[in-house]
Amino acid sequence: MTAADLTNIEAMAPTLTKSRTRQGQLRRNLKRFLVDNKLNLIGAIIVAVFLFLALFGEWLTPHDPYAVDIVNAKLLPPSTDHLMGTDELGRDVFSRIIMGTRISLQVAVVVLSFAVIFGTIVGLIAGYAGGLVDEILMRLTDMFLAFPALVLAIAISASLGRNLRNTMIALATVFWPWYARLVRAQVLSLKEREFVEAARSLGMSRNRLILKHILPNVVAVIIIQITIDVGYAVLATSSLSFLGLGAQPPSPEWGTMLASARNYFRDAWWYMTFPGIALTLTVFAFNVLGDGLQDALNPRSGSR
Amino acid sequence: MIARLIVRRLMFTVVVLLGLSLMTFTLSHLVPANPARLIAGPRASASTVEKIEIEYGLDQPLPRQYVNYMKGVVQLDFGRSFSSRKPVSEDLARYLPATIELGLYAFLLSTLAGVPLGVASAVRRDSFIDHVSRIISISGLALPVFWLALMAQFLFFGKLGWLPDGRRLPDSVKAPPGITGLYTIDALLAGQWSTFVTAVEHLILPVVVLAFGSLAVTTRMVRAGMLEVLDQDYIRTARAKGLARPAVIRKHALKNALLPAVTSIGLQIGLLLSGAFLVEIVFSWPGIGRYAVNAILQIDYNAIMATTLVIAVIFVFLNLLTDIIYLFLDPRISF
Amino acid sequence: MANTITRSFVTAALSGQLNRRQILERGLALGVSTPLIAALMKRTPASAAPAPQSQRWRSGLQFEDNGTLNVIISSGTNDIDPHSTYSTMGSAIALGSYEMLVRYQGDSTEVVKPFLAESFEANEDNTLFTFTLPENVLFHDGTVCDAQAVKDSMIRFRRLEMGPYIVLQRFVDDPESQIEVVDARTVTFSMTRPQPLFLAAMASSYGPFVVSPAAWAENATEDDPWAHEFISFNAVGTGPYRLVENITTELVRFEKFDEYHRGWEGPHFSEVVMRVVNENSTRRQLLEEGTSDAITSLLTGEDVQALSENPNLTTMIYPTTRVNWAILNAVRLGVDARRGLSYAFPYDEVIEGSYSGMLERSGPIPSTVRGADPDVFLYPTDLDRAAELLTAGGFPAGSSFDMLVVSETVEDTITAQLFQASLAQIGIDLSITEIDLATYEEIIFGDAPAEEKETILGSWEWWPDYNDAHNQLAPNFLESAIGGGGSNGGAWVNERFEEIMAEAEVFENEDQLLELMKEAQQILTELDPPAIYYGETLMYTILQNDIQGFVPNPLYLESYFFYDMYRVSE
Repeated sequence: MTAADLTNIEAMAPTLTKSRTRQGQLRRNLKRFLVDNKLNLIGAIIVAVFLFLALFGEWLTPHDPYAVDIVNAKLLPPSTDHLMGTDELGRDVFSRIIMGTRISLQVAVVVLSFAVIFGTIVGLIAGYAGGLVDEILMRLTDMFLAFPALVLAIAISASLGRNLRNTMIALATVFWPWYARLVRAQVLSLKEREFVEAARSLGMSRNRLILKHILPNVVAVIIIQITIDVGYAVLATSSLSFLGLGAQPPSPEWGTMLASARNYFRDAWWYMTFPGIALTLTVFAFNVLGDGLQDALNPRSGSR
Repeated sequence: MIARLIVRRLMFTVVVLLGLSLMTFTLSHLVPANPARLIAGPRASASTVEKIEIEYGLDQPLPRQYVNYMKGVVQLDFGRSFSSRKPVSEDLARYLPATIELGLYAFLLSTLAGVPLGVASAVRRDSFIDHVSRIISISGLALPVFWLALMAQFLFFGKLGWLPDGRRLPDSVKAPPGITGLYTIDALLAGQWSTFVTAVEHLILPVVVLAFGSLAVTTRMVRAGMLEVLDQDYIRTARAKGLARPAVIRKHALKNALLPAVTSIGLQIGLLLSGAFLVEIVFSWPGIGRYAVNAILQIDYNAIMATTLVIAVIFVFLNLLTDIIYLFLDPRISF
Repeated sequence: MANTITRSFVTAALSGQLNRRQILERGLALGVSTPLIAALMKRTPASAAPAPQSQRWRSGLQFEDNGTLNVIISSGTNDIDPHSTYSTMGSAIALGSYEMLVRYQGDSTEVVKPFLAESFEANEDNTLFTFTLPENVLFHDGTVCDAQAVKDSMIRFRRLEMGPYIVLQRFVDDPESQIEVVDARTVTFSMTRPQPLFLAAMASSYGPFVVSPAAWAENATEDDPWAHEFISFNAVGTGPYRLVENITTELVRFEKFDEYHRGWEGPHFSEVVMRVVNENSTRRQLLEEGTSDAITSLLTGEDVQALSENPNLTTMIYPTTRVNWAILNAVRLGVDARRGLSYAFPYDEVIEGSYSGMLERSGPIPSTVRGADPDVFLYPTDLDRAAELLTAGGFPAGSSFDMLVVSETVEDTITAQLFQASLAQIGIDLSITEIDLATYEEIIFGDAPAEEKETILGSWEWWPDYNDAHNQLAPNFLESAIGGGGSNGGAWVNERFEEIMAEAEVFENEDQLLELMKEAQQILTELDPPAIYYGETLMYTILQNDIQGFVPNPLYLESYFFYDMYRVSE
C-alpha cells in the first residue's frame, strides 16, 4: 500500500477534517495528544529517534556501513561487536540500518515536498477558480488516481531507469494527486465561509486572499497528511527497491538490504529481520502520529 | 440516473485508458535497451537481431508502433510477448486467473474477519478486543507486505515446514481441468478432492499475507462507521428504550456502518493489486503481478503495456461497480 | 581419526597422486570444505582420461520404472529452435529432444563418440568425414531420419543463418554441394581444406542438431521458409524425450519418446520436469526435502556449503570451459590504465567472496580448452603497482571509474563492490550502476561507439561452442566483433592479435596453434589487456543420492543427458 491509498481513507471518512488551529485548543489538544494517549507518545518517541538517527547517523554508527570484510566477517550472527550481525560482504547490519534511516527519510522529504507543492498549487487553482479550470484539472488528477499507486510507481520508475532519483520522481508522480484533491476540497469548503466572504467583499485581491486566508487554513490538513505519508513514502521506496527498481547496492536502503537478505535468509535470520523491523517501526510511528494528530486537531473523531 | 452515471464513467474510463496506454508506451520506450537483442539471446549475430526487429515491427517509427499496437488492442490482440514469444493475450489468460483466485480469497478473508472485528471493537470500545483491533489496523498498514511474506515463508515453510513455499500446485499434481481458471473451484467441479486440498494449502500463506493490509482497512472503516452511528441520537434512543444491544446493532447500526466500508472496497482493490505484485514475487505465484514485474525487468514492452492496461481496467471497473452498489445502499447520495 | 584421513587426502592431493576428479570426489566424500577442494584442484593439472562412470551399474539395485527426474532451472527459453537458439538453456532443452551426429564422451573435451550416428570416420588429412546412421531412426513426428534428412537439416542450419550458424559455416559454407548422401544410412561431409576441428564442432551443443525436415516443410510459409516460427515452439527431433510443455517462466516438461532408436532397455526416466525456481532459498529447500533431484549452479556459496554436508545429496564440482572477466573500455582507457586496473583487482577476495571459491585463476582461454597456455601471465593484486600505472595512464588518486552491474546477479554485484573497496584504498572512486540484462547486452553487443560507454563495462563470461581457442577469442576480441553482434564492447583492437587470429583460424597442425595462442594470450593479458580476467568457472551439480548416471562435461554447460540418468533404490 502507499500513502496515496491511505489518503483515500481520509478522503472517504464520513467527516471531512475541519481545521481548527486556534492556539489554545491546539495546546489543550497537544496535552491530550501526548500525555493521555500512550500510543501517540510511543509514535512520537520512535519518530524522534529515527529523525535523530537520520540527522546524526554517521557519528553514531559503530562501524563504517560500507566497509567490506568478506574474509573475517561474512554473515556473522549478532554479537556485542555487531549488534545486528553482518551481511554477505561482512558489513555491519546495525550501522547500515542507521545509514538507511537517512536515505529513507530523505526520499520521503523530497517526494512529499514535490507532491505537496505541486498538489497544493493544482488544488488551490482548481478549488479557487472553479468552472472549466476545475473540471480539467480534476479530470487530470482523477486519471492518475484511476490506477493503483504502487503499480503506477513501478511502471514509471521501471521505465525511467533504476535508481533512487527516478524512484523519487515516480513516487512524487503518484503522491501529488491526493494533495491536489485534499486541498481542493478544503478550499471549496472554506470559500463559502464567512471570513473569506468578508475578506472578499472588502475588496481583497485574489492572490492575497489565497495567501493570507485560505492557505493557512489548509496547512493543518496538509500537515496531518504529510505525517502519515512519510511512513508510506518510506514503505513505497523500499517496496520498489525490493523489486530491484529503487536504490541500488551498495546503498543501505532498507528495501535493497531486504532484497539481498532474501538470498541468505536460511543462514542469516538477522539479516532479513532487522531491516524489516526498522521499516515497520518507521511506518508504524508516522502512521500513529498522523492518526493522533488527526484526532487532536479534529474533535469530532476524537473518540477514536 | 444510474445509466447516465455508468455512461459517463465509461467514457471517462476510455479516456483514462487511452492516456495510460500512451503514457506506458512512451515510458517503456525511454529505456535504451533493444528488446530484439533480448529475444535473440546472448550470442546472437547482428543479422539475427535485425530479422527480429522487422518481425516485431521494432524497426518502425514510434508513433507508427503505437498506432499499430492500439489497433490490435481494440481487438484484444496485445501483440506478442518478447520474452515468451507467445501472444500476450495467451499469457494473460494463463496468469490472470491465479491473481483473481489470490485476490478473491484475500478479499473474502479480510471482509469476513474485518467486519466482525470492527463491529466488536466499536461496540466494546477500549476493551481488549478494541486494542487488538487497533493493533491489527495499525500494524496491518505499517507492515511491509513483502517483508511479512518473507517472514511467513521463512517461518511456516522454512522452519516449521507446515505449509508449502509458494506456487499454486506442486509439480506432481496436475492442474484441474480449466473452467474458471481458479484451481480450488475447478478441482471441486471436477470432483478432485485431493487437488482441492493441495490448492488450498498453497493458497493459505499468500492469501493471509495479502489479506492483512486490507483487513486493517476494513476493520478501521467499520469501526469508525460504527462509532459514528452508535453516537447518533436514534441509536441512543433505541438503547434508552431498552432494546437489547445485539438487536440495535443488527437492526440499525450495522447497515449504516457498512456504508463507509463499502466505499473502501475501491481502496481494497488498489491495496490487493499493489500487494499482489510483491506477494506474488515472494511466493513465486504465477499471477499477473509476477508476470508484470518480470516483463518490466526484461523490458517486454507488449507485456508491460498489456498488464498495465488490464490492471487499470480491472481497477476502474471494480470501482465503478462499488459506486453502483453504494448508490443502491444509500439512495440519499447523488453523484 | 577423521582428521588423519583428511590429512592423508590433502597430502595425496598435493603430491599429485590424485587427479582433479579424484580430489573432488574424495574431498567431498570426506566433507572437506569447498574452498579447500578448489585450492587443492588448482595445484593439480586436469586429468585427460578419468574413469567413465556413466555406466556405474551396481548389482542388487532396483530401478524405478516410470520415474520422473525433477531438475531446477532459473528460467526457460523462448526459442527452442536448435538452429537458432544460442543460450545454455536452449541447448539444454535441445539435448533432451534432439541429437547431434556425435557428442563429446563423458567428461572429455577431446574424445568424440557417436550420438545420432552409429559410427563415423575421418580420412587421413581430415578433408572427408563419413557418418553412418543406425537403422530405423524416427523423428518425433513419425517420419524417418535418413541421410537425406541429415543433409537437409544441415542445410537449414546453415541457411537459416541465425544464432550459432558459424559453428557449421566455418567448415561447411556450402552444404548443398559439400554434404553428400551416399545411401539412406550414409552421409559424407567434404571439406575445402584439412579441418582437424570439424568433429569437435559437430559435437557442439550449439546448432548441429538434426531436425525433422517434414516438420519444417509442413509449417513453412513464404516469409518463413525454414518454419523457424514453428520449430522455435515445437521440438521435432530424434532425441529420447519429446517436449510436451514449455512455459518460459514456469517449467519445461519432457516425456519419453517410445520409438527412440537406442530403445528403452535398462534404467531411464520416463519423464523429465525442469522447473523454474527463482529464489535461492527455495531451491535449497526443494533439494533438502527431496522434491527436486538436481540443480546445476544457481545457489549461493552458503547454500552449496550446507547442501554438500547433507548426507542425502551428492555434490559434484567440476571444471568448465567458461571464463569470467570484466570488459574494459579500450577507447577510454589506455594500456597503462587497463594494466593498472588489472593490478588493482582483488582476485582472491572476488574468488572467495563472490564466487565462494568456485573460480580458478586463468587467462582468457580456459585450461580445459586446446590452446590454453599453462604459464599464462596472471596479474597479482598489487595496489602500489596499480597506483603507479593508473597515474601514468591519466588516472591519479582522486579520479574515478564507472562500472555496470546487471541487476539481480549477486556475484557481479559483490565483485563490483569488492573492486570498489580495493580501488578506494588507492584513492580512486568506482561508481557502480545497476542495469537490467537487456540494456547491458545492448551496451556490450550494440553499435553505440565505445566513447559513450562506461570505463569498465562490467562482468562478462564466455565459453567456446566447441573445444577451440579461436572460437573462444574471436567473438570477444577481434576488431570485427565491435558492435553488430560481437561482444567486443570495449572496442579493443590490436594489430598483432588480428594477424595471429587470422592464422589460427586456418591452422593445420596443433603445435603451430599452440604457438600462436601462446602469443595471443600474452597480448591479451600482460601486454595489452582488454579485460580483467577473474578466472575460469568451477561448476557444481547437486544431485539426490539415488540419481545416477550424470557425467558433467566442461563443454555442455548446465546441461544433462537425461537418457543416461536413472534413479536407484536400495
